[in-house]
Amino acid sequence: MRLARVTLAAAVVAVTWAADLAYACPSCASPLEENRQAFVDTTVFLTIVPLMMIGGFIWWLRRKIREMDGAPEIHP
Amino acid sequence: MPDDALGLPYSVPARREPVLPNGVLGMLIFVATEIMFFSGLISAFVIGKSNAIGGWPPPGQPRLPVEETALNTAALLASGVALYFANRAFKRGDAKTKRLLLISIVLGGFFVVFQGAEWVALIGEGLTVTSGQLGGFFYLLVGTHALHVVAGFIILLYTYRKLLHDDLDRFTFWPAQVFWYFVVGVWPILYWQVYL
Repeated sequence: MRLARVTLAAAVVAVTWAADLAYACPSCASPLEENRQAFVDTTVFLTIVPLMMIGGFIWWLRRKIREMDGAPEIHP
Repeated sequence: MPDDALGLPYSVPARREPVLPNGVLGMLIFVATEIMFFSGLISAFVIGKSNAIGGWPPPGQPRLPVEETALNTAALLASGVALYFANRAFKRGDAKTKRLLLISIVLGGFFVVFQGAEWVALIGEGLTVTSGQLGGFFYLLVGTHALHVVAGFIILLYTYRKLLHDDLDRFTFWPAQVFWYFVVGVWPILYWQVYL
């Protein structure tokens, strides 16, 4: 049991020791300012687009429901 | 007012016309995911373009046909406008609906055929998926859009067939329109990013 724990701890230390920098995308390592800017711009864009879509839909839905408040009922 | 078994008065819940037909809501959700998909592709392209050494478009690569595609863009936009007027005519029960929907379909078909011809010419000039970053991104972005145009074209043909058989209702026509407006609306952004 103790041996297993020591082995596990040694493995964790070994993995931690061996770890190096990992670049997730070309932008992270790019020295080009234009590239860094493009990365920031697209991040902002991809964050804003879903918020605008969901926000716009909720706004439209609310307006439509208010408009329909006085609409006649359907009798089955 | 009659009472039910528990002695409570019957109450019929008020029913109103739904704010959105289910088909339209479903298509809107689908289009929202498509918008995110295309946003991701465009973002990757913008970053790839800014990362290109030696400028963009890369030197030694064939140039994309900007003017000819502008004409094709106009055809696709006109198709969207024709569909809009087809819907207005449809709401009025006007016989013009058939003609306007047919115009929209023909213009969409023109876009597909023109795009195919453009691809044949570009492949002939040496621009392929593996020829470089330009070719890779071009066929990925424009090809993905082309697949959507073909799908939208088939959907419009289906609605036209239903219209000919006097079987078209708004629950079929409106979702088809939502999809086609998306296909039309995303193209100018792709044209601006990829061609200009």
